[in-house]
Amino acid sequence: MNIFLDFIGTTAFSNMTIGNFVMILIGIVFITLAIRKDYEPLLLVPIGFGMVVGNIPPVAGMALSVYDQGSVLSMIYYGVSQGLFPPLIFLGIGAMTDFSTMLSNPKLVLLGAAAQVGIFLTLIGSLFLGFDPLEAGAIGIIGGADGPTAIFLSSKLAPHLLGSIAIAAYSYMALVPVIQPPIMKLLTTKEERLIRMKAPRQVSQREKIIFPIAAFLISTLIAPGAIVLLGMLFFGNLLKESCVTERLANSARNALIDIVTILLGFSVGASTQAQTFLTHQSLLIFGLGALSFSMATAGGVLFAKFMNLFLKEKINPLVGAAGVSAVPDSARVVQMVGQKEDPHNFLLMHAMAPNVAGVVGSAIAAGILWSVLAH
Amino acid sequence: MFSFAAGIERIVAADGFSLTVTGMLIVFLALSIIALFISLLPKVLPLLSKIFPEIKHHHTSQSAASPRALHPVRDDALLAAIAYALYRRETTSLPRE
Repeated sequence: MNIFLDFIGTTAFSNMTIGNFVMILIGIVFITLAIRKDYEPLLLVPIGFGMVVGNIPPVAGMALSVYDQGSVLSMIYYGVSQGLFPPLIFLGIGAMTDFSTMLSNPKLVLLGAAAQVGIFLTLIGSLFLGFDPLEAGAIGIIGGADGPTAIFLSSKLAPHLLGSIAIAAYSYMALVPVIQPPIMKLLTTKEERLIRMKAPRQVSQREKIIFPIAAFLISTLIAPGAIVLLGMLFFGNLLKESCVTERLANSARNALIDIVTILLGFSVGASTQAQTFLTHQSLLIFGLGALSFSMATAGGVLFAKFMNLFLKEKINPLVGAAGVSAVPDSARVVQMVGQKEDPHNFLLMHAMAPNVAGVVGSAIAAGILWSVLAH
Repeated sequence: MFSFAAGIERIVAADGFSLTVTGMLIVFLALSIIALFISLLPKVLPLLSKIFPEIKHHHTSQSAASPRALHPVRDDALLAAIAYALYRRETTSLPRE
């Protein structure tokens, strides 16, 4: 009988808090959104299930949770906390990204730069609300709309906020189809949304091979803090475009990125124990994250309108919204919003240019913040 | 108690405004140079081709070496045919399959 009573004392029921229960419910909501609404299922299913796993209260004296030294989950989480997984994901992204649309219309690269305004304005907002500069930098990067970059930078600048920042970044990436369209419509007129853009030119294989090497040199000589992320991104792209390493490119864009996404999503989810996650700070981070995404979208759209003042061949300003680097979701949103006005207007290819430029831009911004704030 | 003035003071103390301006300028600078490089690349490549002519070898990808890539005109004709078929389908009242 004593053994049975001892066992009852170790069950999760006795240590369960309302916070754990709430987090398990949020995890189930994530899984439901992924399955029923198809919102970023590859991320939300692992994160959601990880949240459920991470909120079963561990038994005292047993190494079970992400935060227990030597536990299996802590070993998986090591890849997140030490910033190992994000560069590997960038390698896979590089191996699956086609920069042709960007190479065929270089002026659209600037939209990817403009959208990074969300990062820096959120940094100001975070400082205003009382976060210290390192925390503010880590929160600001949510505006880059790039999960791996957000995880990488927060693991370097504010590891204690990593869980909240990662969940905020991935949640808002999943909510791109909900957050962006109202802002895009608010900032553009019907005539602007109807603008048709010239079809992109054919890009030679040589351009595609030279680009990753040159772009890596340019961006990392200016912002060396971005070496790891951009190095892997452009290396992956070179594997793809060189045509001589097809096997490696295939592994990077299929098996490797899938394995790392599973481990990253699951362990980030498991790191959201109610005791560490349900705090006043997390709520502020979620609020700032939403603001950050909105400002990044607005920054891209408004800059496209500004460029149109000087351009003969006008840009459809909706394309500016794809400057946030949620690849390819924000480009898809541009296509969707554009086609609501004109079903025969195909903006997807044009939107991919600022979209991939946004990935580079947010990695450069992360490199700047890391090198400036860490000193 | 939260105070607006204290918030602004915190931004100023952390050089938040100058970090924002500098950060945006650097991001723009880097991506502008990349954009400039991309726009100059098609002009430089013909010169490069004279020194290092393009070679084709067995590793060349299917897409780069396929007849379609060598004859883009065929793609245009195909696209035009698809577009015409779609147009006919959308505008005629014939029953759809």
